[in-house]
Amino acid sequence: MSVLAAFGEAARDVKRAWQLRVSLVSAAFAVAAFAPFVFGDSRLADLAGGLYLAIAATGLAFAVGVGGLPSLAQGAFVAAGAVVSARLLQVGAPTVVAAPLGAAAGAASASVVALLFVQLPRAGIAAATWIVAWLVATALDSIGWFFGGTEGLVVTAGPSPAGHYELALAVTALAGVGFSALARSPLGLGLAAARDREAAAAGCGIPVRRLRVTAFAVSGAAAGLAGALGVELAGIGDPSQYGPYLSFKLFVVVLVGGAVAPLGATAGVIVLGVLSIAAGAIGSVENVAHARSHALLAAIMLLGVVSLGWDGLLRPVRRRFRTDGAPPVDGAKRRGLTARNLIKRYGVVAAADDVSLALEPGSVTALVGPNGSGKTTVLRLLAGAVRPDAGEIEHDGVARTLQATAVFPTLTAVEHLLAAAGSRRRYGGFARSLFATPKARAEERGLAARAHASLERAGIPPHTPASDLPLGAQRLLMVLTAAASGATTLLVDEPSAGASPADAERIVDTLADLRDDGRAILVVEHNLGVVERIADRMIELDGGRILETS
Amino acid sequence: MRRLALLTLVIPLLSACGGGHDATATKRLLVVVNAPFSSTPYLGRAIENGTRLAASQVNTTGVRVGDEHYSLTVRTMDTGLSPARAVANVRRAVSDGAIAIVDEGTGVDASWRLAARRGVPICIVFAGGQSLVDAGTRPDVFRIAPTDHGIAFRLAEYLVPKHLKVALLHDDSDYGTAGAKELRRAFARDPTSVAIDETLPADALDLSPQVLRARRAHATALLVWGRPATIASAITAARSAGWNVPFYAPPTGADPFVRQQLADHPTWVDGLTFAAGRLTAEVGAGPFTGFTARYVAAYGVDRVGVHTSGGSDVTEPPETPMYAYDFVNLLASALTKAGSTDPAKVTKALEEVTVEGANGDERAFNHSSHEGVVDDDVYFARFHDMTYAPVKDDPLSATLPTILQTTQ
Repeated sequence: MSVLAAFGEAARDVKRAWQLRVSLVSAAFAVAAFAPFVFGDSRLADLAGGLYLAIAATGLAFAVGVGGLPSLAQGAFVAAGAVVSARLLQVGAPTVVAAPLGAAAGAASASVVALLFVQLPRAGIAAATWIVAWLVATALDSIGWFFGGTEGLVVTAGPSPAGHYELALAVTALAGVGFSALARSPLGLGLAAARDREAAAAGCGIPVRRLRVTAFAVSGAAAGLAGALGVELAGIGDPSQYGPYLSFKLFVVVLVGGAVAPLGATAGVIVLGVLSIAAGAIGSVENVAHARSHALLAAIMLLGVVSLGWDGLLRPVRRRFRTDGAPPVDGAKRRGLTARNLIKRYGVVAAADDVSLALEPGSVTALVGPNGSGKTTVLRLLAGAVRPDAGEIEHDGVARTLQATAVFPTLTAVEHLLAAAGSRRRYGGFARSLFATPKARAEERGLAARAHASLERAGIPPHTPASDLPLGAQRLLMVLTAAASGATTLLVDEPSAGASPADAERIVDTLADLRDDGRAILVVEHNLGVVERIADRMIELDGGRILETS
Repeated sequence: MRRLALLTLVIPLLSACGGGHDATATKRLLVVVNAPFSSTPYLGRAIENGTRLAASQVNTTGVRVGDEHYSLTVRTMDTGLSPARAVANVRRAVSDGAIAIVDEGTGVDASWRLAARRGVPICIVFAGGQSLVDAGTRPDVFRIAPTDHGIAFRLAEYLVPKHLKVALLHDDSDYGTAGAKELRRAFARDPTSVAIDETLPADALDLSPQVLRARRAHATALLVWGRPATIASAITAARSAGWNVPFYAPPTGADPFVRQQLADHPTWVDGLTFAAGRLTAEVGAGPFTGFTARYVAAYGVDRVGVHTSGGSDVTEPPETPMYAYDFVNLLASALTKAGSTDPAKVTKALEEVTVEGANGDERAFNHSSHEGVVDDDVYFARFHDMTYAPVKDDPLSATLPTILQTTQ
């Protein structure tokens, strides 16, 4: 495809996705671009500063809203970008060098924080990142020779306030577009799935930890860029500006504006700006310093957001995926799964005791046994969710559904399948998704077409939020989601539990289709009728040992 | 509906009647006070009051600029001791057309460029950092306040001949760090007089370990350069350990906060000697006393919050307001001299005018020096009974009268 044709195709995609809301936002940005003809340098600098704050907040919204990662260290990542940029500008580096390196510094520092803490539960992430914010603030205060101390790092180069304003406006718009692109990418869908149900997402082959580290890095890059450009605008890198209050303010802005909407954070900054002017006026009447009245206002806003259950000023637009592409050809040779002498003990209880089995491609194996016989443990061992005490497992891709019904409630049915398919996309990497390259878009169209087809075959409406589907359809959806991951071996835990006879029938048909497609399937199932209909062979388990294979 | 229509007609008419042009009205010029009102309110108010007092006096006749008369309007902006906010304030002041900025000093390293683009003069009336003012490279920055350099060299000049072993203690604030640099240079001429050079954490509540180290280094005097809280903590650490070592300090030693912190132990303050710009000139205490009277009439006395042993309230002489006051008078004179309200021309004219300062000294700048207080004007005063008096063992200080610091 020629470059011209690629742009033409991209323009047609944009046209198809265009909505009234996009027109309104575009018009608002166009009007805002004329601000330099109305305002003086001081106001423009304030506005540019607010927009840089919005860029950092948009990055944070990606981590908080899409990834469900409550980071309270965004101010620290802003500081990283600001310090690196200020030091570079001081030695004569131009903005085009200092700003990207500032963004890189933000991304690097956020990645380090993520690698250390991303495995924690959400409250732990919030607490750990809050401590990081304090540590960075203390370091900024204490290491004056590097961070500039109380006098700060003086920066002399850079564009005028009007130049900064236009740059900030453009970068804010790009941040919103980037948010949208990433939110619908394998990264965004995988993060959303993990945010909704981490274990289920991991079972479907979504690399939860890697995606979360990436989300932190993206968030940190936006913060670093905002810090780098902000320090140039201010003319000084002032350590006192990057304390925990900045992190807190950014978090409040995200919650107020809406964490899952591309421009929610920008809306939050506008709300905070308007209210802070009001707070300043009220504070001056009461003789309260502006800095204090501002902090008070942010705290009250956070209380309001939390206590009223407010989920943001802006809501996300429901994502639509084109389905006119050719489904990708899956030419991989399938080998199934082989497990040898698996042992897993919990204290004196042997949950798996010398379990060996082989799952052949194009076959369905039923794993049966009484409650407590070790079926789920064996499933978890085979899926890699727990490490065996002894034994070995060989496979070329395995996915698992959970015993409990565990859809991703904020995703539609088609998004479930696309999220699971993300990890094996060839052109779905971070950069390709961010820039929506022709190959990435073509691949997405193909995958969406295949997802639509398999959902329609199973009788599941593709664009219905999963939480609105009946229970049986939800269980079926999770089977299809596991299959969409491309795993050659599927471990399906009680697929018909709670399903109506009609739904159970559909599940059996779907499993048969997947078997015919060459998958190796292991089913744990109490419904013997389902087992008899679908299973090619049966393994009976008791006390963690295989009693019989038939 | 009729009432609404009537109102629609009447209101504009009334407005028109009230809005007639006043031929005698003077035009206004904006002077911005950029100071840390929220973080150190005492200092912020002192600078503001000095500026407003001068502006109100200037406005009684107005400032003659060419054929027109102008009045000065004062607007305050809070820095919160944050350089970034200080710079943003200067940007706003310049954008709003300020004719001059009276500044505490925070952020001037960055803000002077913004002001210089339109030639707006910035006058520092508190911070003493040597690099802040340079007539050659920062033509729009002036200072009427003692410099750290002057204070440090006068302290060395005063202490070295006493053959003391001085412990140089400074906190890690910007003020303390800048002071330490100047102290090291000043004491370099006789390094043997320095017992120890120690950095103190600016926000520490207990400085006993550092003071103990100074004692073990056989120091016979402590020179503490830092924020008022640091000086108070250092005194507390030494005195509570029974060490009656003499204390020396820069102008922050006279800050009311030091006495407030030590109010429960008034004798601990006795003997604290500080260096500062002199409050009186060769002509005697008359001019400063007159200025103080005008200041008190306008704003009341600045009570320190402590008492003498006789029960009198201790008051603070308006030293910092004096510097702001003097600059505004210089500004008014420069406006007249320039015959223009172009800030760049006013900045140039500031190098060519002289006024009598509030203490009777001549205040002036020139093209090679933008320092309004010369280093030789630094004197020493020692506390006794919560008030201070010039020392008698320094030639300059011995000639200076004691300023009244109590209510009668």
